[in-house]
Amino acid sequence: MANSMILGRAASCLALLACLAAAPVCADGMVVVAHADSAIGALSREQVTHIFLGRMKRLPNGEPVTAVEVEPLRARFYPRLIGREVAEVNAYWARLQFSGRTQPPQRLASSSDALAAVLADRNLVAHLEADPGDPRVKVLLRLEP
Amino acid sequence: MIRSLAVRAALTGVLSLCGAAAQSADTGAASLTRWTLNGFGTLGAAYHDEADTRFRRSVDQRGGARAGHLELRNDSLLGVQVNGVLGAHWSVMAQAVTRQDVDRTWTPQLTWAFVKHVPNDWSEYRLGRMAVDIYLEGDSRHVGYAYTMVRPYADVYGRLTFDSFDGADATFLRDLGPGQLRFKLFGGRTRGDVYLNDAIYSLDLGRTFGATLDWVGPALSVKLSWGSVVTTRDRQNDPLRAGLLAFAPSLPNPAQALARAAEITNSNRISYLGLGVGWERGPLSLQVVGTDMSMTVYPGFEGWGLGATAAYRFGPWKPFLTYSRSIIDPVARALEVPAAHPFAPYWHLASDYTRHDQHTAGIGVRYDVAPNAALKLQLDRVDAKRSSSLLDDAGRRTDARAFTLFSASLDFVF
Repeated sequence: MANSMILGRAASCLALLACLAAAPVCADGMVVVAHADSAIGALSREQVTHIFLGRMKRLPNGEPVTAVEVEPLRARFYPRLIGREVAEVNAYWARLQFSGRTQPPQRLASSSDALAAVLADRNLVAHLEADPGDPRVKVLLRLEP
Repeated sequence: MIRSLAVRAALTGVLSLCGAAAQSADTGAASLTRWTLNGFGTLGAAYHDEADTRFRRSVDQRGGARAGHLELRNDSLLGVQVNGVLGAHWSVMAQAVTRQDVDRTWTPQLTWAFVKHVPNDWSEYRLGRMAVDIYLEGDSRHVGYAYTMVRPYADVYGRLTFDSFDGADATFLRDLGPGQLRFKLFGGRTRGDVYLNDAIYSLDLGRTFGATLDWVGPALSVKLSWGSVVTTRDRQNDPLRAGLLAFAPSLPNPAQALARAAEITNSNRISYLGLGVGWERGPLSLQVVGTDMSMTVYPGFEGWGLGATAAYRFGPWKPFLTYSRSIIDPVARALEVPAAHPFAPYWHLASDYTRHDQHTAGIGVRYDVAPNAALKLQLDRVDAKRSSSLLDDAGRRTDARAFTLFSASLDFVF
């Protein structure tokens, strides 16, 4: 069981590295992805904003959805998604978290961790540096530079 | 004792749910349970040189920044939060804050402790200890990292007294246009204190209830709120009532004095009506909050407060301008008291103790030194015709004051 998890994670890392190395495969710009078999379809920028800011936990089609963040990418993701610095997003979450409303998304250490999390849970969406070109995930939104 | 029942119920709920969580862990559902420990803090400093004046962040503080002293106790605080997600529908949260309180001590206060149930996507219910949710950022006003300035408007937020309660709230949510609409009802036993005229005012038997309606969109957020604190029996003015009854025969109009004494037991409500509007788009942030306040608790007052901030972010720098004002006037209570009468000073003290007219204009900058820490510098010009937020060195409300207040803070979360 543990071996298969390690192999799966290693495969994800290799796929991501391959993607990052092979420019023609990867579209330029950050992406929001989900499991290829997820019932979550293409999302609008507004929907992704609501999901990542904790305002939307279920899509209009009834599908539950949860966001995970990639810590090293947050500083570039939020300016591109909502035009605001990550410091503003951190302050926003401090306001919600310490008034007991809701908790911020889980923060993962790397894109490969996020990819592994998405592959393990079909209700998760994550932001990545670029389209990983991995058939096991689908791109829900592209954030052009 | 009575007011702690809701907190006890909440803690009992927490223990029960912890037991349930432990049980679910045994049956393989442990992944649904997640505990987190977080916190926040502020190291703040304030300085001014106005003689015989103490600047307070809020009226529940006994101390304040005195002339010529670098005051570190006004804004500094530390908070710790434990949050437990216990499956898909239940969670618990407890939060304690240590800050200078009305007794000038730093005894940690349990500011939040609740059990939360989310049965579906459109409603949430909480039971326990919570903060009164009147202003745009009122329920997180101790979390310095969450807002732009060194402190929330002292002229507005600082007037909100009795700001927590032991009880319950229910929130209903729905999507509306590009944003989310939230309607919340709350109520319970009042908690909190006010320090004024060298005395502590508490409402041990008070009840707090209210409602908020807010809409949060991609850039615009609007909040309407109403709150009320009702005391079933106000004993704090018993000495004044006794004085009125005792001196009535010697006053020019005894019936008037007896009528005022009767009002002390009949009037018992503090009400707030608030409106907040925030606009955040790209680097620009604008915010306006306004409140209408009234207190029928004897001798009563009516007033309003307004605060506005404009800020613009350049990378880690966020310069801002801020302005706030509040005016409070006592409700007219007719009583003929000759100036030389021994009851005169007590009557005037009681009638005027809330009188207040103060405004503050400020400029400052927030610098995010790290992903979880912000350094803030702020310069305020405080101008009061009369103030019950400021205190003189004897701990009483002040007459006219005008001074420049220098403030700095390091706010952080972890």
